[in-house]
Amino acid sequence: MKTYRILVACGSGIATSTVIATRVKEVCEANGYKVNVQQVKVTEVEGIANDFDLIVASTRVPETVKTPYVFAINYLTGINKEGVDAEVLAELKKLKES
Amino acid sequence: MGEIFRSDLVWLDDEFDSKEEFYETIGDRLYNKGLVEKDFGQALIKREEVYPTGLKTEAYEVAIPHTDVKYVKEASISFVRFKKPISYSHMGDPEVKVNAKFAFVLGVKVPHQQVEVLSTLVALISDEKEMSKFEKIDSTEEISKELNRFFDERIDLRV
Repeated sequence: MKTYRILVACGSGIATSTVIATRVKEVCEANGYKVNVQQVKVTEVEGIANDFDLIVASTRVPETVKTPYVFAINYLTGINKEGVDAEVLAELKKLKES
Repeated sequence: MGEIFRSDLVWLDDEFDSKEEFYETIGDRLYNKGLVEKDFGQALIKREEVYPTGLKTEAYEVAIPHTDVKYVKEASISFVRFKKPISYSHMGDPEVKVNAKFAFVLGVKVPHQQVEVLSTLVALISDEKEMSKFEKIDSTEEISKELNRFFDERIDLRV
């Protein structure tokens, strides 16, 4: 089974990305995906994005980044968290089928 | 594990004219308690300019200022209730303004050890019923007790 590499980013790479990484891992595993989640500062995303299948971030990432990206601020505000779950799973499904 | 919140890290009806003034003050307070490095406040200011920490939940507008682990000596969370809301930018979209009524100042030392605490904090700020208590209570002891109760209940469930 493929392990999907997911990059989780926020401003400092320490607080909000920790919350997001935990949720992403739970959601993916509950849906049968094996994932490897790494947390970074958003300033580091551009340099390493190509090594990842998916980026999940609490802030906007530079437009030059071509890796699929899910904007996950709702994991922090609690408003429609399920919508973000669905987006993450939809991206993984796309990757799986491609 | 000891208690997460301490009554001496709760400040009620604090009045500041700007985020900068707030960060300098909280930086000095936490430095004097030996919890952060001397430049923690300045680091909060710099980080806020680039990556804002305002959040708008369905219930409340809050800020969760934090910065690099190297400025933190000991993990802590301070609770601040502002006398008048401070204007923040939203973490997800700097164009969106947030009128923060409360701030949770995070002293994160070892992120993976604080996963549950951070997740619980996120649950708290979107819980209108719980958050409304913190508007009314006027004792720092009472506030830290309520906060610890909320965290203890949830963190125990997850273990």
